[in-house]
Amino acid sequence: MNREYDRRLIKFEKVDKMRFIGHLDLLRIFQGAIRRANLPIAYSSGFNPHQKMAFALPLPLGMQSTCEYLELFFEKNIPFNLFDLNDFLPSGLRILECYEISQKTPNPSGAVKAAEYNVIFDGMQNSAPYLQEILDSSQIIVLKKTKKSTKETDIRPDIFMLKYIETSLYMRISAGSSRNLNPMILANYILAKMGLTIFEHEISITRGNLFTTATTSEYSVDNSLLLWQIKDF
Amino acid sequence: MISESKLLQISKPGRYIGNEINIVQKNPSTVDIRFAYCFPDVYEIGMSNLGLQIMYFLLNQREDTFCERVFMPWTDMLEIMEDTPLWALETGDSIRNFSFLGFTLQHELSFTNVLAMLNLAGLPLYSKQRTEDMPIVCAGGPCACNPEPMADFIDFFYIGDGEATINIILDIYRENKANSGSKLEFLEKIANVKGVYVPIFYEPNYHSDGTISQFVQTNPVAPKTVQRALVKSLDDTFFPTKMLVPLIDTAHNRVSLELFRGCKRGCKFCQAGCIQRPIRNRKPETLLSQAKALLESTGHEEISLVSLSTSDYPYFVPFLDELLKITTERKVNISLPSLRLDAVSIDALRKTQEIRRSSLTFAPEAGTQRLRDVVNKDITTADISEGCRAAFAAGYDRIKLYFMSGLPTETDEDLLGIATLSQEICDEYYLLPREQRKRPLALNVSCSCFVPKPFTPFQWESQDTAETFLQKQRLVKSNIKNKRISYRYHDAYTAVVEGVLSRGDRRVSAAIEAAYKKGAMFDSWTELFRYDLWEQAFAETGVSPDFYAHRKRNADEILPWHFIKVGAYNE
Repeated sequence: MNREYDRRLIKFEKVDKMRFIGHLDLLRIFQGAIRRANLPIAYSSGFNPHQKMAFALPLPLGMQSTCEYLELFFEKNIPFNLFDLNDFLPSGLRILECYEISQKTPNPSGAVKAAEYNVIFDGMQNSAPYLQEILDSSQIIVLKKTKKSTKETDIRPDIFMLKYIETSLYMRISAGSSRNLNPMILANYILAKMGLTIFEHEISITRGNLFTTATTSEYSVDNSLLLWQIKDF
Repeated sequence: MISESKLLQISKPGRYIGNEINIVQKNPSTVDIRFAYCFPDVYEIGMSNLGLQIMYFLLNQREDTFCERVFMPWTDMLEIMEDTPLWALETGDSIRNFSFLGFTLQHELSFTNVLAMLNLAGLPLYSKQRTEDMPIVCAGGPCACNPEPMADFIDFFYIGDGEATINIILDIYRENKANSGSKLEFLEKIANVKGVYVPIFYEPNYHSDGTISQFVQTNPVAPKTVQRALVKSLDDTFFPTKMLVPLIDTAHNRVSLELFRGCKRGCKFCQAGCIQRPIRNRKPETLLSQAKALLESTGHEEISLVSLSTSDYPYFVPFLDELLKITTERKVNISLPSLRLDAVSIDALRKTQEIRRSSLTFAPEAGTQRLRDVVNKDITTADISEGCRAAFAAGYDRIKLYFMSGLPTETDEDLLGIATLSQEICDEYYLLPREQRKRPLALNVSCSCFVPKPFTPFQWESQDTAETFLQKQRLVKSNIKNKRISYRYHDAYTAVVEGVLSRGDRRVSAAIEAAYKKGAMFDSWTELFRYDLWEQAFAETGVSPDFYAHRKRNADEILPWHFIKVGAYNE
């Protein structure tokens, strides 16, 4: 039952035109590239075998990212070079780093607690006082739409860092399976506070690092997902 | 192209970005010919078309040519495009200044989309209004075999197998361009190339009853008849070793392997079977090497065997066994559309393990043996029950049956036969021992409206009116009482438009233009089809469905496509 695999974690970027490709299509694109590159990927058993892989955190359509993680399971003891995959990926997808991870390492998707985003929109240079106001509040109530209804939610606990850094508005917020805040919701809240009317398609969002703790420290790589994953468990 | 931020306002931006696997990129300034391959339907439909994949790589194999793709933008894109001219996916350049726009006419209901794309490109609809600096607009595909309804909009048609003479045409274009020849000179030079039809070199005259009296050549170079271009051997003709792999999911995201062209069956309603003669088989060796190359270059997990009747392939059984060796090793599924319901097919389905994945589709076409004999559908009621029995025994419990209503000589008895046959098949399933029936049977009965097509033995027949179709559909529906059988039928009014366009003459162009100007587009999409617009267009332009669709022609009438010879080629 418990087969052993050659586990790898790749960090890749999804930029430019690839931001128009949704998560399920991205999965198919990686599957196709792995098949074309003829890498010894492991397949699940059963009637419809599929390649064993898992993304750390889906990226909403429209956003770019410089720091996406994908965990891949390969058959053991077959030599290959994961960077070869770059020759088979469409432009806008590129593997930046590859790591071997041990059998005992938990799945990355369960480990993600926070993500950082760089948000760009016209007028962001005036945002600093409004960001401070948000950070000083004990509660931030927004309307969250679900498929069935809209309900009021307090997103203040999901905001760990928020600042304007000349080239963009930086936010570090909840991400992952337990708590997740869509950066667009926060961006819209900020815009409303600033009295700006900007369409969502005029807001550019790029995701950066993923974190395993909801840290509020100035900058910490100690808890970045990647470092956590390659630690020897 | 459109700004990237605008792409975020629409539902499937992946349709408009290009960037696919195996995309061809060239420096446009280094080629003589910029060719826009225009598919008049959405991206997902066009990218699933084998003809597009073949022509894209065939044209791009030429060093002097850069072929790019253009699809019809979906309605949400049309709303935000404003003045952005239609662009090609590879470079994002406006196609207004390309050398060629080449449309593929897969079905008549895409004609308004062709006009829409010309308009979006910033070009006048009518050939005679387009000037020397504008692209040459050509069209091919199955509907080019009756080009007349689109004749006023298209500079030249290409009739027949795309691979056959396209290179000759492009060579002539390049030479003509190098000699600063005009568009007219180019059209004169290609007028005698096999498969080429230049509408401005011909003029129809009409009798007072509206039928054609004469079809005259108005240019001395124009040949009296146009012979369809034909590839004699599929083994020696170009076939790509790559296919474009879309980044978004499409209708058929898989490798297509074309076993043969043509069909040995002589179903009298089937235009494809009539215009693709003779049968040309690919050798199994050719197919196996194509399969390997394509699976390698695409990474696809499915391979589909394409033809008009797959189990008629003479090497079917040994070929399938060899193919299975390749696909099993690579964990690739084989998909087998267009199967007849015979023992060979059921066995093939069992081998490819298609059974657990899908439903089985087959086409009795008519409800009674008498009518099947009339239309020459070479399958008996006994074949059907036997085939179903074999399919049920092999584990199928999802069956789709295709019928047509409105076939020549049809009576109520034939229509009731659809209900009876469906019920018999249902009963057949429940004869299986109970433990073999895992689920209740789901029998999907689908009934389309028969539209007589050019070059078929039924080309002179009258087509039922929408009212008659509706009445017939009600009759069948009221006789299907079993809740395991779900009955669906095609839209009767769509069939009227299809009927007018498929057997129309040059005067129908005006109705297509009028319908388009009123807003008709995506006519094959049920939710977007607007019969009211077509009705107005027909009335305003004097194009009468009674004349074009519902009228029975005399055997001696000059049909609008009479000058085209599609028959098997003698040399």
